[in-house]
Amino acid sequence: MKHFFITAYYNIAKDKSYTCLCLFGTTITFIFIALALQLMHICSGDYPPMTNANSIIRLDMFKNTDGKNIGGIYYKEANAFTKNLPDFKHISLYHSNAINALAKEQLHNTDIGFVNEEYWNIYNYKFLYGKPFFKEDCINRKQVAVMTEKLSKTYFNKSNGLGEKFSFQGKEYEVIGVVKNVSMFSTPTESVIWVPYVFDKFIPNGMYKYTLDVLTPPSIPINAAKEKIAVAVQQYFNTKNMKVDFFPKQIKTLKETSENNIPGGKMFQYGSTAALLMLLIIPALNILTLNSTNANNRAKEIAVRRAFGAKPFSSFILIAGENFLITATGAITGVLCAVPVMNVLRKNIVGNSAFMDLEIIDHIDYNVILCGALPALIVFSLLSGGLPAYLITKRNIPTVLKE
Amino acid sequence: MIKLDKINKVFRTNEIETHALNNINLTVEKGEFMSIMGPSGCGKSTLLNIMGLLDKPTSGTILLNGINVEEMSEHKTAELRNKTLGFIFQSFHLIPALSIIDNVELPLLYRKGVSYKERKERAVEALQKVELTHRMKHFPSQLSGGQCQRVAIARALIGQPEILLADEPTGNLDSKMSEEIILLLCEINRSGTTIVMVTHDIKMASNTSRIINILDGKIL
Repeated sequence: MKHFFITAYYNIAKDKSYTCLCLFGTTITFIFIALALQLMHICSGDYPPMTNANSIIRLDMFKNTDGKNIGGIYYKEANAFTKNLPDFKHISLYHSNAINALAKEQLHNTDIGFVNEEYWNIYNYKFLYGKPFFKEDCINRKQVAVMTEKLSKTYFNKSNGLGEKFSFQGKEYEVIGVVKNVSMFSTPTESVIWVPYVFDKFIPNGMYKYTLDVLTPPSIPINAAKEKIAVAVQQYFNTKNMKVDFFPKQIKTLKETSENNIPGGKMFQYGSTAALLMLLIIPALNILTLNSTNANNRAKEIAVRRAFGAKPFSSFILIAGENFLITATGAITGVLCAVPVMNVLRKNIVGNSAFMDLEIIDHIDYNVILCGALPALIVFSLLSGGLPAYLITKRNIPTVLKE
Repeated sequence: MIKLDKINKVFRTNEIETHALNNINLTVEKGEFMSIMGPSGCGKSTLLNIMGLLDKPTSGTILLNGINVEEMSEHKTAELRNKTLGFIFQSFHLIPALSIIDNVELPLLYRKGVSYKERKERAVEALQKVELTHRMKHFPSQLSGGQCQRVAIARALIGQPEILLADEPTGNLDSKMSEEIILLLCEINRSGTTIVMVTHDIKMASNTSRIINILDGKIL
């Protein structure tokens, strides 16, 4: 082992430009591999707060049998409508509006979500500080709010905005909960701040309807749940003498919808895997050429070792192991740099868009990276370093020594 | 000790065939100090490489201590090289990354059951034989050509091989250094190690017990 590390250190230190190029190439590669892995994980639909995505059915806008838009569930009838679904305990009401909120004497344009207490039971937001608001808060019209950590920083210059106040539409709200930031690829809504639905004035957008998210209980099979929901919606529109085009087969869970919304649907996941592989193979091939040159420079050393009894495998390990040390260092650096790089990209790409308050990737889940990046590192290392090492150990000893 | 029977070696490059060795029959006896002479390109190094299991003949049989090595796997030949053979090259071929003592102990790294302590002790012993213990912490780049070749000899000896194969060991050295090296090899031979040496230099060859002359791949 000592011999291996002495030789590896000597060779790594001797060819500084080669080492730097390899490190740089691997770091860049693994920044993007880490981001791609994380993005794939987020888009899979099981990522917080969307952990129940495959059991949530959204009721938003409906069409009649002629294909014309007939709106959604009218806000005054929303609570009554939920009573048509007695088997479903958790039904959230949601409506959003773009508002100008005043915090610390500064105006902020923010997308605000007016939600009922069930919103917090259906979506698994991680509360960093405080708590959500409950049914009593809604009934008693308590002017309270929950916001993301990022918005708390924007509004109050601190992560923990508990007790801080802001106002909009003539009312002042107190922050009672701060949740972890969410990714724009794993969020039920675009909102990053939520207040009780009872304060919704439906201005400025004037859409007097709620989006209802129904969490289907585990005791009801999803197809049976879809049928029950379809019947309830049909009854609701029948009372209004409208024929709604809404049948169980058309109903999709949020997970199914997100898969459909992603370009290419399920193909996205195959596509992402292929893209990830390409991301791995192209730089690996570049580093492979670098390594081939480096390995050729060391062909004599390997030939001498073999002449004195080194077996092909131990010679292979010597070269490939050295490459593994460099690529592993590059890979770890890449993974650690992924989040800062993402933040720079986010600021430059979506900084001024409607998603400015959402993250592309809220954080790096190191379990995901470990499960994905580690095999990728082994493949990358074997491709870029193993192949030249193998070829070197296969060369004729006298030919190499004569060169 | 080594018996070569009808050894042929043909090098093929595209459409050109070069017969480097033609029907070589040769026996190296235990304790012998043999030199192989001949002009450049006559096949003497090829013959040495085949004797040292570094290369395979196109046809023919090699018996090493009575064992036919023809069918041996690469794994087995590596083991045999490690235990039975020692090599000295014209260009020394020391590993620049390693200190002198680390270079010397190299063959023992690939031998099972040799502890770190034993490796070091034997490396110092081998360096004592070539009178270079004071240089053991140095690196090859800090040594003269003659010293490098003495280190290479120590490396070849550390595994206590039965046969030492030297390919022009004095080829890169001046006459004074060459003399030192040949005297060292004679001493090693006297202690019982069989030596086969390839050389251009008749003066060097005259110190050996048998001289084989090769021309165009054939023993004269």
